[in-house]
Amino acid sequence: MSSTQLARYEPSTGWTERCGIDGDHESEQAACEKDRSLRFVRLFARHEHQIYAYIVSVMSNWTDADEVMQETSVALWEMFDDFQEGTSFRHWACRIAYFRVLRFRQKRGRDRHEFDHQFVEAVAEAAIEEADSFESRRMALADCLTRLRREDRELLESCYTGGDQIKHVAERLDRPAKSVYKALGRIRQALFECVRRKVAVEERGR
Amino acid sequence: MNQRPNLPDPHPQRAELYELLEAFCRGDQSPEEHARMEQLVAGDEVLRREYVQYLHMHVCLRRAFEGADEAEQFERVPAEDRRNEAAALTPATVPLRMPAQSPWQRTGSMLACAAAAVLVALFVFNPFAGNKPAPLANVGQPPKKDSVKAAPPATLTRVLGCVWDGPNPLQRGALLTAGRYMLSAGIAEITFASGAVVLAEAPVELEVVDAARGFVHSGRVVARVPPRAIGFVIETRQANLVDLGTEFGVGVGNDGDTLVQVFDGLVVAEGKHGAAKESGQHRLVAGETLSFATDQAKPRSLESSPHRFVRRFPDPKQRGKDELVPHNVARFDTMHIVPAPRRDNAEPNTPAIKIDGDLSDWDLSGMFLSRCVEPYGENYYAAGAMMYDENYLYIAAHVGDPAPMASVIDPETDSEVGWKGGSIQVRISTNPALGWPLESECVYPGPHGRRPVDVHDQLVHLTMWHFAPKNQPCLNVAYGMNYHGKHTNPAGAIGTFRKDDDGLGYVMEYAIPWSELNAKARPLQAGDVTASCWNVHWSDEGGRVWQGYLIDVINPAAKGFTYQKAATWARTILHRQGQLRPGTVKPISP
Repeated sequence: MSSTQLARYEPSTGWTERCGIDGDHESEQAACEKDRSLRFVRLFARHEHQIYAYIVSVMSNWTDADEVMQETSVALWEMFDDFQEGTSFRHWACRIAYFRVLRFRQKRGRDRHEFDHQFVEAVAEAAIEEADSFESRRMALADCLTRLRREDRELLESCYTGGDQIKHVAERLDRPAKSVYKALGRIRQALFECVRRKVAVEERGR
Repeated sequence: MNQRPNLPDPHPQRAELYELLEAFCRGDQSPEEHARMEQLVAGDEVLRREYVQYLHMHVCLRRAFEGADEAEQFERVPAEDRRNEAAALTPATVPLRMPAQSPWQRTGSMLACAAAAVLVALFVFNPFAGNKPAPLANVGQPPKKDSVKAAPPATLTRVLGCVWDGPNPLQRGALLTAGRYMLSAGIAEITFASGAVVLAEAPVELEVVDAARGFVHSGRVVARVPPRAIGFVIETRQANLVDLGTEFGVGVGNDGDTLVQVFDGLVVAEGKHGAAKESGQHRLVAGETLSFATDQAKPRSLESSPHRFVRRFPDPKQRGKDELVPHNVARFDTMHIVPAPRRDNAEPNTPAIKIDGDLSDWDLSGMFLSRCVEPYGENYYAAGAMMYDENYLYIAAHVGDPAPMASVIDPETDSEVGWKGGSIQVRISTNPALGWPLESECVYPGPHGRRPVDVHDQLVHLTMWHFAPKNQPCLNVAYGMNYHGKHTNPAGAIGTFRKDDDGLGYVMEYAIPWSELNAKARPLQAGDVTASCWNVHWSDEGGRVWQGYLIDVINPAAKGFTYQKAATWARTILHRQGQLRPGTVKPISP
């Protein structure tokens, strides 16, 4: 039995062949879907931090960013058939994320705590440009983390693990919340500087 | 070791940004801090990059450490179950799996698991067997096997402020495959291969079925069908509408209720269900409107309304960077002001004409007509005229406006933003000695500093609007490019607004004494050449939310906004004689 390749037209890329589907061949269909799932998981796992950072940078609070990230993740899966192999998954995903951000803002309406549209546009553009360096920054951060003093690393881990509020961490550590805030800020800025230096060295070496 | 010179940081606000980011990351940023961060980031490209990098680092830290708990759980999952994790995803397998590795390795796996969780969640309601959601921008069925690689049935021929509900913003010229297209903002023109043209106004969900058939799931479209496309069908859940060479509008509610209104030609409409179906075919001619309801009763004839298929501006925010771009292309570089013809019974020192919203006593030979770009031009336009005598400057306009005279901007409290709710703004220099083009600019820190010419009292900004709650004509006057001396509804100025009979526009008429224009000593007079320009603003139906504007009568050689830079104002001639010869008012040569 011959298997028919379904084609689809996309204005930007023209006709593209799809995974072989034949309505009478359930096993082929399942294999195709399994392949699709693996490809998606692989790409999504590699780029999730970039997509999330992109969303966070244009949203005004973490709860909204999480909600948009969730909607974006679902949309990416739903639209994965539209992703063209060989093109940038990150760019494609960020484009979808951008529309989810716009839709979320439209739904929510403008309030005084939201970034204005020009800001969103400018930052979204910067985030897309910066995203090229996200992977190397992430690797640099991993290295910088190993260079932290043990107590700093433990404090960082305490503050980030389990979603505890910092004041609860402070109570646990029997320290004033203010001092924990301060220490956390100092550690993050040290990490940021460390990453900056490492990435600069790496770029000079290219 | 060489000591680095102690150079000043080119971004002294960096430390401040870090502090603000810390508060943002903690989630306890105050509104003031939020605004300050927005200001810093928006205004400096370097800080903007660092802002993005800092947040990315924070995201990575969250991802690195948040997974620790799940990692512990993972160690309790049997090894057998860890294999082929993505391949094994079924609705029954929900756990997040995390190999116990270094935080960064954990992060990678955790991300994979997050993705897996997404998949799992999806598969619960969307298993492999069929029913896979299709992309939102095109959620229709895939092309039929026999149509594979056939020419797409439609083309997107025009887009205006369009936001598509989907990943790829469709551009003008895009070839559209069969399927559903959801437009959440703007207006799109789709030309079917048969030659039929459908103008879709957001929000609308339209399905391209084939070259000669479209399906409106919800929203409003207008179809224009040339002779070669006769037989083009618009289908809805309630009716089939066969076009026999015409223009007609179709509106479909979320529940499928269908209304068809014929503007020109002939349409055959047929219900699909119940009594509507049994009632057979209905031939509709121009001016007829038929409604098909979901209760499957017989279709009802309704009165046609010009409002139903008005093309409205998209939400300005949806225009993104183009939010402040006018909806028109300026056509005129000269304003012609003519002497006001004096009516016979006019009292001395009173307006030469009757300020009543009827322009039949005007000399309109200097009038210009400026339309917004298609497809808005039919509903959004302004025709403006000015006249003078020794006592008054007269300003009149006929404005096409789907929400006419609706402004709720209160002149008592908000007159500074009188333009927002729908208005006409005229800026004029009443001192011909200042010449043309003007040098005056908005008083921002600039190379010149503040000069007398920038704040000159005879650069006058007039904003005119109709305050709907009190049915009150309003005029706000301000002077200089720094807008000093603002006041509203000055004594002596006489104005009125009158709505068009069809409710799709209004006429405005004003007589403003020269004293208000700081030109009492020497009013503008015949032979003067000065500068002026026009802005016309539109609002939403509530008269509060600005929707867009046009700018015309400009100096095309100057760049910038008319409210900031008076060099952009057009050459303005005060004619000695009225009844200008046809052709005097002419558009800028392309």
